[in-house]
Amino acid sequence: MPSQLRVRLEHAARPFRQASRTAKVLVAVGLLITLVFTLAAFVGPEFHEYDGIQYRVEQEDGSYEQLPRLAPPSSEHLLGTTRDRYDVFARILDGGRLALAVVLFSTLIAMLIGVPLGLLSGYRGGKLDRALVTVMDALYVFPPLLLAIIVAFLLQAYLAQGVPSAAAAVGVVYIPQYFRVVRNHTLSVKQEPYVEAARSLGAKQHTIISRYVAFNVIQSVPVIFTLNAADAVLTLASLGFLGLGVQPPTPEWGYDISQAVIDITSGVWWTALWPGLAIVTLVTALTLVGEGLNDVINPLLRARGMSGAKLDDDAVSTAGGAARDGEGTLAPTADGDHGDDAPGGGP
Amino acid sequence: MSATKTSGSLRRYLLTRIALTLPMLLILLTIVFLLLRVAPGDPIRATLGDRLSSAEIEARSEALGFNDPLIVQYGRYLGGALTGDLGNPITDRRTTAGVIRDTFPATLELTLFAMLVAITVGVLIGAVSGRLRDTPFDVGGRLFGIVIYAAPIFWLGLLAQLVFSLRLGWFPTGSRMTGFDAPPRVTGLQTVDAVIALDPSALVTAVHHLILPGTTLGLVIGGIFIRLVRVNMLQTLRSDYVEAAHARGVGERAVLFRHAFKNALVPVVTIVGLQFALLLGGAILTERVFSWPGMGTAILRFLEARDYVGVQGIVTFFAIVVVVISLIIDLVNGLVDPRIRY
Amino acid sequence: MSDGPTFVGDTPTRTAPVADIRGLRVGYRTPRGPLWAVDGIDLQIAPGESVGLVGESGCGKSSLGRGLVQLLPPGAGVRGSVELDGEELVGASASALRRKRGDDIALVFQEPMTRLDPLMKVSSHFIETIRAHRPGVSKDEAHHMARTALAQMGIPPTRVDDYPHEFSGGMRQRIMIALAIVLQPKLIVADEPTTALDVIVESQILDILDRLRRDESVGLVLITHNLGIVAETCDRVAVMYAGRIVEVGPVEEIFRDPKHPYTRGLLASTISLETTELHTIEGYPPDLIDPPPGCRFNPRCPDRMPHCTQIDPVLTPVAATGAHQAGFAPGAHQAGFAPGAHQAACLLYPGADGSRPAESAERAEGDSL
Repeated sequence: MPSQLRVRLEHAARPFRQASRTAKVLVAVGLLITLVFTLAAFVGPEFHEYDGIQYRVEQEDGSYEQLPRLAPPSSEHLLGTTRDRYDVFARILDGGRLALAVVLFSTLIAMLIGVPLGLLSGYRGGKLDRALVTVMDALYVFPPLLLAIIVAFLLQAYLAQGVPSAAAAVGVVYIPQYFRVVRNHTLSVKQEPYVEAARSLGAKQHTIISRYVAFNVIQSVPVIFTLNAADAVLTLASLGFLGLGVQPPTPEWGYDISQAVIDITSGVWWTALWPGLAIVTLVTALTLVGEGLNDVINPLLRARGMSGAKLDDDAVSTAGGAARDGEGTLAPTADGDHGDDAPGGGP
Repeated sequence: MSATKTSGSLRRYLLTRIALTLPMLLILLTIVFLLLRVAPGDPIRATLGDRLSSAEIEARSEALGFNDPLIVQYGRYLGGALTGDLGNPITDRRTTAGVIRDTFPATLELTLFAMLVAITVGVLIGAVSGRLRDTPFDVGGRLFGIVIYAAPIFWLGLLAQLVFSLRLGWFPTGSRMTGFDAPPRVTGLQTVDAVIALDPSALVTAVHHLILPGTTLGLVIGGIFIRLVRVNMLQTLRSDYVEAAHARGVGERAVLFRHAFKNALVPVVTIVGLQFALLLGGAILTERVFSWPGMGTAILRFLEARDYVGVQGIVTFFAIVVVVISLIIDLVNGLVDPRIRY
Repeated sequence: MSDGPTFVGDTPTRTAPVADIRGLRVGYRTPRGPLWAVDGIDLQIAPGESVGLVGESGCGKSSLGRGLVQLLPPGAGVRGSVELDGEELVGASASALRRKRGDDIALVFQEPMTRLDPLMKVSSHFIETIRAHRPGVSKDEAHHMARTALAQMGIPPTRVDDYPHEFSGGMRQRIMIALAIVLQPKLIVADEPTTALDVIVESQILDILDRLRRDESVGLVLITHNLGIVAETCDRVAVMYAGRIVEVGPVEEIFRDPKHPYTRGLLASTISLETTELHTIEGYPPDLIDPPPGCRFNPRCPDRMPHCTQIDPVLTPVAATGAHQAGFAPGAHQAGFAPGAHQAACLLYPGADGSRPAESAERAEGDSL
């Protein structure tokens, strides 16, 4: 078994080796930024002086001194303070933790529902499949933010506003995506000869699904996962902006921006700018990872023929006729833009 | 000639598509109905529970049919949806249809303008990116697309207001029109109405107010287009018919535009349709930031007031709009791609 | 094949070849190093001659076909010389190449289903091609030329303005051939034109190619792995293996008396009504990034000799049996080869190691006389 696993891992790693340099750079940069964010969000608060919902500091004599209101960025408060005397930097860190947690839970929810349904639907086919597909298609077509809004709105009657309700609202939006991709992949894998062979050997249905189909289908999940995670951060922020996210005054980037709307008119920019930048950076990082992975995994986009040493004389065979010895320079192909890139291509 | 053959099969194609879309519409409406019945209690209590006495709530519920069996309510709801009766919001004197009539054109105008921006930006940058794969332009274009989509619409809108309205004073901070400049309503789309009324100043005012919200929303959605058009371009550039055209000595530019570009755009029509849903969602946020009097603002108001009937009515309308758009996209696809007609 | 060129047994005066390929190499970049799919090809094609190019998958024949017009993926390179009617193609500017493609040398591809733009009418493809090379031609004239070319292929004029998806595979291939001949090129390179088609359609296409061979004075290079097709439609055949030509010569000679062990193996592997048991050539084609030393076929060769791993053989004339003399024009061995003669690159035959045995044989004959 271990050697089989190694073979499979090697097989999975091959696309990475063949990927273009841009793809690898994208993934690396994205991962780096995401890592930095995660670290900052979970470790940062240990080192930062203020709390996200702290508006005063306890003095030595037991009294409290309130933090300044709407203070511009300074050495004391790196990113400034809000109207409610919160430290912006602290809220950014806390918001990051919340965003990562919600995103993780919401994508888990979406995967836990969407992937098995997709597998089942694709493998079983028939009426169940048709019914599920129509439902999922209908959901897919619907404006995703509106869907999240409605779900958040409805959940408010049952759950207190918090991480679970926000995660559920965000997660529901992505179920159709997982369903659809997994189902498509299952459909194509189902046709493969090795599945038919397994069936003819008498393998049980769930064995076939888990061992053959699932392993293959899992390949497509990482790309969707990262792109979904990116989108989920945005959806969460949008819900927060509309007041449908977590319970205020919990630090949340979107909510903070909604609170900053009033500040803009009086020229205060730091309460709105930093949360937004945090969103942009994290979403960009996650998207870069997803796009890079997509470039690597999607064979259509691989840049074939561009890796490896340039053609030169050294490979000429030495024995045999004189006619084969190379002289002159290598004539580059004049038709450069067939397919991928066109370095020094056509007229 | 082929003309009659084309129109005949096109009509058949359209009818088939309509027939296939009806189940989807039905499912959507059912989901909407069920979702909003999931809320505990009845809608009246939820909305006005703290303002009216129990007896009054009962009376009103009875009058509005909320005590009838679910299946009856469902039937009434469906019938209403398909005939234009989307209910009467509890917190608004107008019917839902009335609310929509007042607010939909505003959202539509905003969305169309944004779509125009998105397509222009997306197609231009995406096509060139695909053609110049892995060059600095390509990397820059892709990065731009990614970053701009990563920026929350409401945040970009705020910054746009800060810079272009407050600091530079080039554009108004919000709303659709100033005071008495509005042209008489014909379609509800103020740009169109201004043209109809031959009122240049109204047209200018309308566009002036459209630019900031429309461009913000359009740029963000354009980010996605860049990615999609680029991938399509890459695929068509390596296709067999492009290679065959090169083999026949057809010129570089002709191959690019006549073969690659045109074929790359065919799926874009579908993508535009799919992104419309995103646009509608994004419009809600844009309308909030720019105080745009559209359906997004209306539904947010109903949500805040917990007016389930109002919310349901508007969401139902959204569902119908989305289905209609998908039909329109199918029709355009049929026109553009000769392979699709049955 | 009296319609063909007249090299064999001729005097030195022969017509200039329409295509003169010398030392052609086509290479690709790979992570493990350069891969020379075509590694030193010499071939001449007379005007109106039909030459078959056969070999297994991966022997480089497709790369050769593409290399002639330099329709290769980015990163690939072409070396050597390809002269088309006297003009050098290798190293030519991109615009010069573009002018030649479709007009002087045309390519017919393997899969007709995907070679036409689905959004363009068939006639538009012709108009586009014609006006790319003859800008003065009006759309109506071009449309007329399209109708004529298609009619020659058996496609009725009523269908000229239809879209590609309305045609079957066989018809699409006929359209592709029509596109190739509409500007009356000097050379057509057909890369496995019938591989994707069923046998009945295949025979129709082969009839067309055969007709082309006889009626027009257009040269044809037919690339295929199917020996049967070559037997039916070609004057000469070149057998490729691992990027080289291992045997070349008139079709009947090669088929009747193959000299190279690989050719023998290929012919033995074909199935006919008389086949009683299946014959294969053991082993696999070599890795062209790191080819075996000496003769590239030696690992699989049933007639392998010890020095086959040390010397890389070149094409050398082989004695022919029967009516056709494998002679060559007296001045030919200055050039190193005789274009029309039967040659094989195998150390079984004198001269394949690079020395000039034919000369000594002639001198010996002369001496003996």
